[in-house]
Amino acid sequence: MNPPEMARYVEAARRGDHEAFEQLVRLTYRDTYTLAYRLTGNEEDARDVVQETYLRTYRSLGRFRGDSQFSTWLYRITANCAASVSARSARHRHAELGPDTLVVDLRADHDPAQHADATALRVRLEAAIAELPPRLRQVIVLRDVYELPHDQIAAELGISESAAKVRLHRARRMLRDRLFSGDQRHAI
Amino acid sequence: MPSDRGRCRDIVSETLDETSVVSLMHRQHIEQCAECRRELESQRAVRSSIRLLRAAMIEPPDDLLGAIYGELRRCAASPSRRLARLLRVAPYVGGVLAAGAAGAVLAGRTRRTRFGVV
Repeated sequence: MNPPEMARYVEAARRGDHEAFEQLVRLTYRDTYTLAYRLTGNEEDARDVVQETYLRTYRSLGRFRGDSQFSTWLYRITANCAASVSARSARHRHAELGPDTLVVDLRADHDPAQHADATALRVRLEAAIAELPPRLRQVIVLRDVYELPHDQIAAELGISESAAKVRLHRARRMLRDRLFSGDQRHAI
Repeated sequence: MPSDRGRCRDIVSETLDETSVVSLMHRQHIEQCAECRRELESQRAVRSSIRLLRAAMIEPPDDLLGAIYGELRRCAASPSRRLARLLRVAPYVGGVLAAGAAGAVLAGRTRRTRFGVV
């Protein structure tokens, strides 16, 4: 969906059009679930995060000023909900993507061999990210996958910007060690 | 040394993030420090791999959309949270006010009796 079309739905939803809000949910919930799953590492918490995200979004839509894209605003709310759910979840399961978890590539990719390689790498990446400690996983997903700025990540996770940067560095190192364990490791 | 490690970590992170202009001092350090160069390259490789994930969706459970709609409809049908809280506390507030009023009336009557007004 293009941003102007999204903006029209957002504006209608802000005026109280419930159907417009449901349309926004329908268009964004896959993306939101994907982010929630990557942040929490398991389906059950991801479901809770997604439902809480849309409830908060619905209640606070009047405060959305349109300074950023709606999708970015939704990512921030998702990150904040995921931090709350992770904090109160005593389980902290580090579930790997199982055979039932379907990863869908949205890019047009017609070379079967390339596609197989890319799929294998993505499965390894998702598994490696899921194995990271939650506080490191949240930062690397928000920064390196969704490209949120450090200050917004820090604000949504309730940590300082310098703590966010330190966690990001640790997460990248851990991920590198897990993905490329044959390579030489460094002491930085 | 920890301070060197911390400095190298900051230099690598800032250079990788490119969120600000990389200072000449940082660039010179990267050029001279083989360890930082290797670290930077390996972290760049990780980051470009991770960015592949942006295009990959994890398929949500079939019933999730219906569950979200259900929650939203419940939320839309229920009174606002502020109003709900007001309705919840209203009986208690009413009770306290009624008890206060009754106490005031009784106190007034007792005072009038004591001074022989009745």
